[in-house]
Amino acid sequence: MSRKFIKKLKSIKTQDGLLNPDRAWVARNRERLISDIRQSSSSNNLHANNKFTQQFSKGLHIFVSNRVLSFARTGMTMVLVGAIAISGWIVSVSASSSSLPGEVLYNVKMAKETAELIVASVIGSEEDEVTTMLKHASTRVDEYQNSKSSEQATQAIKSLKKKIESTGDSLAKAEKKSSEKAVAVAKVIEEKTDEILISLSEEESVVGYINLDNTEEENLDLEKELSEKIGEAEGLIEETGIKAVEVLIEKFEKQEVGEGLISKEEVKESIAKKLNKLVADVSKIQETNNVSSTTINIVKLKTVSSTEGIVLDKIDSSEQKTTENIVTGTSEQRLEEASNKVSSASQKVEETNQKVEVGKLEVGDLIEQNNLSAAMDKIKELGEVKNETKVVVTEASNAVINVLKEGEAQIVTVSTEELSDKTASSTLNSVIVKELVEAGTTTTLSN
Amino acid sequence: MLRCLYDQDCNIFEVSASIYMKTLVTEKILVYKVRTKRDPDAFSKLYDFYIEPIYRFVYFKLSNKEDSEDITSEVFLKAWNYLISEEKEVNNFRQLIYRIARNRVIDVYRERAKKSECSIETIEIAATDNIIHSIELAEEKVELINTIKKLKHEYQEVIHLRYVEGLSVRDIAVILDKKYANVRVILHRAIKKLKELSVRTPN
Repeated sequence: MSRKFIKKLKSIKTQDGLLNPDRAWVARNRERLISDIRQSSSSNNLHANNKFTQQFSKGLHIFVSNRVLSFARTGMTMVLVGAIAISGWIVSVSASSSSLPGEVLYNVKMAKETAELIVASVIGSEEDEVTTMLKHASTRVDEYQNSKSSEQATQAIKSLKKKIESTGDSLAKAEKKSSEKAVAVAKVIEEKTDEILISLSEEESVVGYINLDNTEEENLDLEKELSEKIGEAEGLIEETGIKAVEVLIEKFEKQEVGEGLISKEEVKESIAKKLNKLVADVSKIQETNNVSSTTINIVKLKTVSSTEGIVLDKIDSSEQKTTENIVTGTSEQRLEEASNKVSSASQKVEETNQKVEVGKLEVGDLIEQNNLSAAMDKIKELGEVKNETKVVVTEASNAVINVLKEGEAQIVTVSTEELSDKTASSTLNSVIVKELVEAGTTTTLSN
Repeated sequence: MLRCLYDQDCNIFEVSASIYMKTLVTEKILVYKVRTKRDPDAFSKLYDFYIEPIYRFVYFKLSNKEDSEDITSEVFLKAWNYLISEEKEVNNFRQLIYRIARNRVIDVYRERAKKSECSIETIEIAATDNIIHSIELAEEKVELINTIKKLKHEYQEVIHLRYVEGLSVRDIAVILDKKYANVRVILHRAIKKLKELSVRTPN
């Protein structure tokens, strides 16, 4: 609309005349109106008692429009509801962090882990995703170690296996995507799987305890299943770790990635770690076999006929780590079988030790020659030998346990220090304790 | 951007947005005082601010001085009663007082229509005709008013409120109880029609 037009329109009201009110009337009307208002205000006298909240509310409505207030009200309500939900969630999530399989808050813990994994996969890299998976795998190991029953422990180990399998799948996917991603993921897996294996193999007195006085077959079966599952899990973790190192070697040798991502020294260090782990495992197997061997020898020496048992005085049963009644009365045949198994196991261990010694030197030479793939292959070969030996030693150990079980004996995990501190009241007990101390045994025969 | 304000002598003048906002805040403070403390002095300031625009608005519709004075007084009394009422919310005093004025004028039309036994539209036309004869205005202003009066009542109202009284489209929408978009459309059409009529008019 033209300015002229607008100006004309506006000018209408500035015109003196009847369009504007008479000024005298304006003044008169004002006086009358205010007078009426004052009179009505004094007669009612309502305004004096306005509370602060009412005044505030009225002020709010005057200065802030209804639309803004309704938005603000809705917004505040949503924020409060969200805050309550989140705070409740935070409380339950933080409370669930120590929960174990089968407990009420365990599902909350699982949901939290799933959410973490989703966030890592969506926002983070493959490396972040695998790191999160392995973090959860470590949590499964903690759950296994803190478990209060075989069922909980078994459940934790099963979940651990699944996590490790997922990690392996992630490595395979990363390999398909790019060499850089494969290397990044392999490095994480190599490092974390070592840590998990160390945690898993840590001996806890709770886990090592086998009460042979407990004649419930079901519990013994559960324990056996748990042992098998632990063995499988350890094997899977090792396998995944080795696979990761193989990927590193492959990418390095083919020069598919730069030195910045993976260097020769890092690859050599990874191989060396695997070799050291192998040697340590073989040493542990040997130790287990030593316990079996010593125990069976002692039992053989002290065997009496099944009709005569030597009952020893009970040492204070409140001390959980003491040897209690040892009553031997096992059949000679079973004893013989166990003894043979232990002998075979000892022989196998001896052979394995020799192979490992030779293998160590070979691997060293191969590394020096920068033949890293061959070095890793050698380690894998030695690993297979180690696993076979472990099977034999475990069988022998189980046979010894059966012998002791038959004799209604209780075997508990004791340390060397504890053994040496014990004062047995009976001659036989003291002899056995002494001989166990001399053997330097520190592990439970169940391994 | 400039806004329209009235001083105490009811002279309209254009001001910057910042002064407009300041005045708006002052108005809100006065309303707050009336609502919470029933302060007659605060209301008297509001009266001074709006007496002429409301009178003009009412007179433009009724074309009778006495009636306009009576109705305007009633409008301010109603406004006072509305402000002190605890149940009712007040966000914008300007919109409120114009709405009260418009509703009161419509009531008058209805009463007159009932008395004369004719339609409200007839009463409206009669009222506007009176303006042309009774106002002593310069010739060009008379022409302009004539042109405006040829428009639909709805168009007249929006043009008056927008260009004569200087109200915002949002305020007009609330006063006429229409949507913002509707008022813009009506305004656009009103202007277009006014232009057409102005072109047809010889001067």
